Amino acid sequence: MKKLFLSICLLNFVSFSIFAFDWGGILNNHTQGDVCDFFGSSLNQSNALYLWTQSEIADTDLLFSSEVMYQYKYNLRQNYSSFENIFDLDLLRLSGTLYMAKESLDFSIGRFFVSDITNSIFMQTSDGMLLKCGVKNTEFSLYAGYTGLLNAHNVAILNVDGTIDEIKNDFYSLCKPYIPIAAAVTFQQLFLQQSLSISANTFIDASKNKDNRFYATLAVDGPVMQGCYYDFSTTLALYNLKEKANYSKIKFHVFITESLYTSIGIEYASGNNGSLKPFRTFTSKPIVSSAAETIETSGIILPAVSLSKNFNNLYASFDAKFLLDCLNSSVSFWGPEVVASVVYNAFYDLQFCLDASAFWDLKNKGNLTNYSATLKVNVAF
Amino acid sequence: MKRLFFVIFSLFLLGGVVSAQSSQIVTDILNTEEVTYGQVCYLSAIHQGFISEEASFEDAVQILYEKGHIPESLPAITTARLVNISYIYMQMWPNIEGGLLFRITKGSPRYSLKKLKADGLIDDTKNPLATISGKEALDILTACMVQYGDSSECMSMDLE
Repeated sequence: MKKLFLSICLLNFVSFSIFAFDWGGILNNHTQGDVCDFFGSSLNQSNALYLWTQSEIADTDLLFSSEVMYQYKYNLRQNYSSFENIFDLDLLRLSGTLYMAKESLDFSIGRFFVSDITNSIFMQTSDGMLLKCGVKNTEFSLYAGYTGLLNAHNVAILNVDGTIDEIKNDFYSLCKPYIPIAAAVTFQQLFLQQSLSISANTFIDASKNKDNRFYATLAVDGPVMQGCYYDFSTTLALYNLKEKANYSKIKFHVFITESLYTSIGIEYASGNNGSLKPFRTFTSKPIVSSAAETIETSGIILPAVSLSKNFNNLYASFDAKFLLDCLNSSVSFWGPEVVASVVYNAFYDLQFCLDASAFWDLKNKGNLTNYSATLKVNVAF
Repeated sequence: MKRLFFVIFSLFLLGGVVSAQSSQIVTDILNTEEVTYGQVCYLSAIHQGFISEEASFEDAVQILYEKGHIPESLPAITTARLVNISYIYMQMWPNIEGGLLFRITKGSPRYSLKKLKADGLIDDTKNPLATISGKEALDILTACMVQYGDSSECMSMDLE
């Protein structure tokens, strides 16, 4: 039987010469228990299966990639339970390189993951086309896409008022239609090894709401001294070319030893502060992970520290965040969050992750206070 | 102090003498644009002492088939795919401990390649059906000898 199996594997590969094809998958388990005074205790169980393929098209530099996923999410609370099915095609991409004189142009067309230079505003799967090219130390990128065919179960787009539309259908529910257009230029090692990036992201509302958004970002990053790096970005957001908002962050990364890393940083997302209005990301981005309800990146100041250590197959990290509320003109302490995480790679294709986290809500009589423990298991095949 | 592994490709050097024929075979393999099944089997068989230096590529395929290192006695001139090459190399060190799927499938070709990728011996982006040059095939075998072999299979020296 083993011999037959091996024969099929080998002979298939030998005779398969038209194009190079590869496939694989990930089976994932997510079990989470929460204890919350206000909402009661809950158990969240989720399993997901991801299957991917990759084909090199013969005699070209073109690469075709795809991935489908199925996930169910089961939530059990006292006197309440819910079950959600998600099916998605989260990758369908044709990518390659066009060579012109001395330069080259990388392109990707289809559905794939995209992110803006802050990794905060626009970070999701999207349908569209990405072009990238580099000239000396300067890199240009241009993206144009459409969000109306994405699965809202898998991609959470934030409305300009900070809400997320309710999902009605099971399996596949279409997202709100926007046309994201993004242009960015990065000057690598412009001065003293510092890199400067400028980007503009526009989201044109293709529905009747005309909820158009524009974000302009300036980002700088580079080394401060040996083993210490920083990144800084500031974003001006315009909603329908009327309301202004700001999102800024700075973070220092320190590699104490090869395996010991720490970071310290602070984020600010404007609220109703002077002439500024509440900042909204385009893709939903919870600012803390363990609050009983989602707190979006809006009207907050967030100092945070992180420490992580790598031991061969084991990775341990500790994060502490101190959330301040600045949604209105005054600033008040909302509460701290701590997250301790251990990741154990039993083999290169089997990973266990255990998280314990807590958020203390000191503002709303403890309504969002929550204690959470999560076990994740990933098997790659 | 930097420790630099200096591996002499010792397929033929273990005996201390390199014949003109074996030198020619290695040169031919190094000059091959797409390494063949026979060439890979030859490298494996001669390293394990299954054949003499004078043996042909066809002899190498046949002996590996008889030893159960390959499931099928394919023509020696068949172009070898990366997944085949990985499987043949991994048979040289049967006590290697791989990942979960490598163990479950008892070292199938697919998971032999994944093991070599996980250990950094093959570029992670390489396609299983890719063809490689003779030089690349020798480079991978050398890396396997350093990673999985004992001191008799490769030489090492320390440099200041």
